[in-house]
Amino acid sequence: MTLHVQKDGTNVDHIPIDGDVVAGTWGFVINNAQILNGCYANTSGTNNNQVTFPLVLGKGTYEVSMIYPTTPDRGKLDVALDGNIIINQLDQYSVGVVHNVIHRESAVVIRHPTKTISLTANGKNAASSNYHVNCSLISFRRVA
Amino acid sequence: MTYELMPVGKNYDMVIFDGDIVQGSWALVINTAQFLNCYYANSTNADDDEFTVPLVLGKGTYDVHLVYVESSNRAKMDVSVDGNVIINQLDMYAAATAYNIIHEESNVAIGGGVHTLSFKANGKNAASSGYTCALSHISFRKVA
Repeated sequence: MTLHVQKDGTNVDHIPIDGDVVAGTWGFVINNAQILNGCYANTSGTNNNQVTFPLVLGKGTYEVSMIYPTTPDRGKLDVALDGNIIINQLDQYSVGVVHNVIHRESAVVIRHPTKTISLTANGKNAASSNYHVNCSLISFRRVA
Repeated sequence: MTYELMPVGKNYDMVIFDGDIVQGSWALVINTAQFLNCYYANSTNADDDEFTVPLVLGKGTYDVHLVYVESSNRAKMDVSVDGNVIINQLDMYAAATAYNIIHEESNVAIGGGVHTLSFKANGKNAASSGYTCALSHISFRKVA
């Protein structure tokens, strides 16, 4: 198998719609108050639920933005590239429902081309009732 | 697995939902009539409102497509790459709101490397009541 990659990275907008499930049940949930009309989530709502997607990123420094809803039943979300966590235990809990929340990591350095992105439920806020985690879109915009 | 390196940049589709604000207040607006269920707009409604996003493209010639919303309070908008205007004073005014308008700019020459892509209100139609810009998506399709 030959993987065509770019030595130096370029921008990628990744819309999670159909991943390779490692644990749990994942699917696209329609919500017309959310960007792209919904989000990808673990409907099973169990800790350590995980899904992966192929994602090729060349080396470089990236601005990473992720958009998602927060609700009272959300877990904390890890986002990793080839197992290296780039967003660590992002708390998606909120007292009420809030759509289109944006989390930004301003300087994610990728030294070697990547092949896989993973989303993993990793713990939860003490006030949360469950471990649902979700994402509508994650963008990688190279800045250097 | 074999890595085969290729030149940076071919096609790029960008969902516009988050930017680096230069002037004004910009935010995502949900609208179920619009492509991607949303658009990004300047609620401050002022001339010269501007945001930027990092952009990496390979050197080449691109067809650029912008999806936006026309309405009675719209500005004219400049889109530029590193300060070079590639879409000049696009008039987003219409007497009645119209969704999913596509503007195409053909044969845009862009150099390789890391760029700054800017969206900026620049004047308005005489009939318009404001300087709002409302856009959802921009694509760069390499043609040469």
